[in-house]
Amino acid sequence: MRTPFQMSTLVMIILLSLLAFLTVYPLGMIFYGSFRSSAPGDPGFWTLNGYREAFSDPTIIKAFWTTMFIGIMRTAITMVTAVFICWIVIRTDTPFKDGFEFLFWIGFFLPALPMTMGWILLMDPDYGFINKLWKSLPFTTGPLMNIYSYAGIIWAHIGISTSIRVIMFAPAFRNMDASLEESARMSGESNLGALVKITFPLLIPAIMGATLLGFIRSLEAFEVELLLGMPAKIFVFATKVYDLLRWEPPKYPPAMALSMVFMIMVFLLVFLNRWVIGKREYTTVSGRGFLQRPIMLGKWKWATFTFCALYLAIFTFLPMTFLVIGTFMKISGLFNVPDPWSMRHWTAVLSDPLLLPSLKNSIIIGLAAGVLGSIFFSIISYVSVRTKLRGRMVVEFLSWLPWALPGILLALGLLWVFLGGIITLKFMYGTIYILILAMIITDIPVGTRIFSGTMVQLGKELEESSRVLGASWIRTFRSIVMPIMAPTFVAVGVITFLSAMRSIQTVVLLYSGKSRTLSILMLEHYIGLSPEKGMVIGVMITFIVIVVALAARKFGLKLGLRQ
Amino acid sequence: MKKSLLSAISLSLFLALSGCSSTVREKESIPRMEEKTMTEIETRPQWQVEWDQAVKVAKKEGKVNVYASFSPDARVALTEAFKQKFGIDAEITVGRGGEIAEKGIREYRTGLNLVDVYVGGSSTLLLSVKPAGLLGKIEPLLILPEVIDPQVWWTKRVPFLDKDNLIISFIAYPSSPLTFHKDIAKAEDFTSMRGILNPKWKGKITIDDPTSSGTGSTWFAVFGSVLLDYDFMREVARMEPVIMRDERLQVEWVARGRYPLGVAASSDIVTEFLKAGAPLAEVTPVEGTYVTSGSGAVAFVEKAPHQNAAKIFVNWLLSREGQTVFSKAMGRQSAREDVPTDFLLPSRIRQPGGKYVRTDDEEWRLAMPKKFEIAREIFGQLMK
Repeated sequence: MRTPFQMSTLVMIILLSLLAFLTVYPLGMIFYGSFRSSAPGDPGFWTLNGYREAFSDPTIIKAFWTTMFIGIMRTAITMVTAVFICWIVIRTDTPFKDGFEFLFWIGFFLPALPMTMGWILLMDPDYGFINKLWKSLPFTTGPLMNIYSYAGIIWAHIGISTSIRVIMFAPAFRNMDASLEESARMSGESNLGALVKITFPLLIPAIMGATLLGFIRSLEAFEVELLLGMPAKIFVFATKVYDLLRWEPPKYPPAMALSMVFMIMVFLLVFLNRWVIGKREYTTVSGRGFLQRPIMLGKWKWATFTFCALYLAIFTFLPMTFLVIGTFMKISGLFNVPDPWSMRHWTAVLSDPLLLPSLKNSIIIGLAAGVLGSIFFSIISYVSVRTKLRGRMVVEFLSWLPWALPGILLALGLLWVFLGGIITLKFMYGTIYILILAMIITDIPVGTRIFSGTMVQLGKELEESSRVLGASWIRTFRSIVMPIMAPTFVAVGVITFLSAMRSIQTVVLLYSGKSRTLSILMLEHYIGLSPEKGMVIGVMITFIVIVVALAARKFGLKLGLRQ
Repeated sequence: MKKSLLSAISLSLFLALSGCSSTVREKESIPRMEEKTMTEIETRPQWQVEWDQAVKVAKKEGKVNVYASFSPDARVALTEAFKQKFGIDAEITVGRGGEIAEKGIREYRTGLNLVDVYVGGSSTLLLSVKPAGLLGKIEPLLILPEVIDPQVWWTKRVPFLDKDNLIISFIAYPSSPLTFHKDIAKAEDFTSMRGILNPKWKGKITIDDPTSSGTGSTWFAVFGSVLLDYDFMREVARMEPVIMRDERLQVEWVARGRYPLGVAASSDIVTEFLKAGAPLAEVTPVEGTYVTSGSGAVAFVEKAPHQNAAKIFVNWLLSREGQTVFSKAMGRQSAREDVPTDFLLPSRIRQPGGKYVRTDDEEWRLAMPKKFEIAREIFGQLMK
């Protein structure tokens, strides 16, 4: 009969092997490729030419610091804003707070590029709608804000980035024991003081993890930066990678060499995360249960209500409105033509025979990735934060890796692994199964961070009681932890489902005619230089997001723990 | 009894004679049938026999897999028309040139032979797909006389792009190198390309990025090394143009008058804006312009899993019928001279006597990296 210890070791070996194959292997191919004269699998020789070419660009250092500046500013602003918003919608008695939380979910899944085009229509210094209104006022001289600037780039990211952070911080906020804050107030602390001195420190693991993930993502962002930065000669690091991949043939070695910078950043940030969190305790949920009681704000609740309403109006409704309007125009945003309106984009998209099969594929892939991914992410998180098994820090580190590379390079790595690796998955190639696997890999960092942020709040006594009664840790996980974490499971599943619906870069190299998804259809229209049709599909995806989020909400979906 | 005997004899004689005559008829028929079949065989051209046989086998194969980098409109149009004509599915996977090439190359290298035909840009096919060794000779596949007849093509020969005759470019549309806002500028200002050097346009010009693959680099190479020279380019750089990476934004800015001149703007996007009624105009200067294939080049994969279906698809695509479908869907002029052009904008149609530089052949494409370097030297400062 196996002892629990041996079973745990076996599970750890399996988990490490699986994670290594899914994360280390593709990144390893990229690392290997950075020292070769050609792409992996092609004839070539060992060389440092990739690095020489990549770092001999005189503008690369400036691009790096520009990236860091935009990344830090964007992350800091959205972190502070998201913490405040989470506190409002989860910890206080602000009216309509559940509705606000739901709307942040919607904001998370709005497509970035069409939203940015919406911001251009609003904030172009010459013809932007808001700037024209502003300039018409008697006391103004110039535009309110130029979207083609550092401020403009940061602004364009705020809406979606804040929504992501709200979703990721929410579970931890929900699991706060209100008695801790009440004790602070009884000792004379204000509500805001309790937020800063009590709530925030206890939420550091969740906030730290999500913030670092967001910072990594901001380093790799380039589409918005390309659109808004080029006219102002603002170049970011990821644009350089993109440039190299646009060559015919693509310049893989220098692109991969540049990406090593991202990998180094991830290593440093993971260590920083570990160091900050350290060995401190963050328990808020123990065996005696925890108190969930909203903080009464009195008349201030209308101020917080107004803040959330305005925030959503500006960063979600306004660009979303322009996105929808744009789909009914001949040329999105071009009003200065005779009869600018047209249904032809909708007609073209709806009459495409590939629309329904693509939708079907997206839903199947999303569901499968959501269900299987949730289970997988929860196991990784549990092993990392709830066990003392040897190798758990390696597991945690590996779970960050999929975001150590820009999306297209990760997709390339996956392609090389699946087709030509030590263990090939050629038999799955071209099917939806490989896309399901790719989607799960891509969402490992997000899914595990959300689970980890919640799991650290569980008191040890819950599991200790189970172990004392003779249950193995697997049994404890299944019978104690999973039921308590059920809402988080559902939430992570929904996030993974919706992420799979709109993912492009992960699937673009792995799909075939039979496994085409809705997001690939959207990409095809952008390639065909018809962004309006791409926006139609973007609106469709947003509609699906709203339906799924509403349905999940109806079943009591909340990020957090079950009472 | 005599009567019966007579009847029997008569009947026998009748039957015998019928048999003989039928035999005679048969014998007479057989030689006639053989003659007729032999006549048919003799008069049916060899290509027709080959074509019919290929169609028959292609139908059994059931589908052709195409990797392409053109618009979904073209995908839908080609798929429907091909299916209607032959009852064979065309499974078209669309992607960006580099990505779709990488996909196919990786599959090939690992022994997965999934793709039959590539249709895309000349750069991708010449610089990525061909060097990877995927392509097979396309010439032996060409069966239809209307495809191999050199007179139907504008170059008066089948338009192979490379010296090994592996890739054919079937689209050849002229690109207007200059687009302008017609309420701010006039066509007369740009009779020559040098018209953009007029000081009044300083700081008011956008150019598609000439330092990487795209319309901007083609414009730079054509006007820098063929129609004009690199001194002209240096003067253009002194006009402080805005270098654009986003093709859509460039045309939008011109349409709004923010920057009234757009050099090397995307023809497809300009066409869309013109059709929508945007206040744009195009001009082709006296120096001439360039003809490009866009995403209109085709190549056959040597280890295609559906050889006959690929053969049928390629021939059909290069035929008048296939070219009409593609040209209409993409809004670009075919390299065939017999394809209608009434659905195209006049500026997208080659004019008799027009001065056109061909930019798609192998020699031109292989020389482009060096031209990127020169473009970087001249325009690089504007991008810092």
